[in-house]
Amino acid sequence: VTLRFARVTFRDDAVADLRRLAERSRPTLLEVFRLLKALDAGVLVPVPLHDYAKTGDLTERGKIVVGVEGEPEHRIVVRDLGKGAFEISQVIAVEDRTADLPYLLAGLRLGRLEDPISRSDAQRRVARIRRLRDG
Amino acid sequence: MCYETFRLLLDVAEDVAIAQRIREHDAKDNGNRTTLGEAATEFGIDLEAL
Repeated sequence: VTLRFARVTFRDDAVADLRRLAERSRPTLLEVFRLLKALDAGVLVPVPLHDYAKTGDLTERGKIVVGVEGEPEHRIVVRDLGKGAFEISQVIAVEDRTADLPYLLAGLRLGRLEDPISRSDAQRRVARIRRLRDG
Repeated sequence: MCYETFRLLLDVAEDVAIAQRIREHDAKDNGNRTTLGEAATEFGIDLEAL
């Protein structure tokens, strides 16, 4: 049994994301695999979701930025399983990234962010940004 | 709101959105896993040459 290219595994949802991506952008698909090959080889470190690590349920989660000129940016959402193994849960486009901001602000204003930890964390970060801006 | 603040808020929003999606996906995880090598084969990608 070889472990080559087996340290990185995909959930079914992530494979479905790849199939959609294959129809939209072959260059981005190739870049995703290039990055995941580097992750498998231990020469790429995902960006941790620092602000949520202390909550427990998102511990060891991270993201990898996928940027290809002329193509929408994507994020590979990764879970560190330890001992060099990683699990990919999603490969998502962020071309609609600006749509997330109204979602966040409306959620904070209207209390629609159901997870209290996410809500308090987002509120704390927004307050910090406002202090930086106003200071 | 200045552009710098807007960008910072986008970063916050992105992490919140990703966190929300992680929870949704965790809830419907069926436990099936595909290795990087198997996925590359499905998409006709030669990882050795990449």
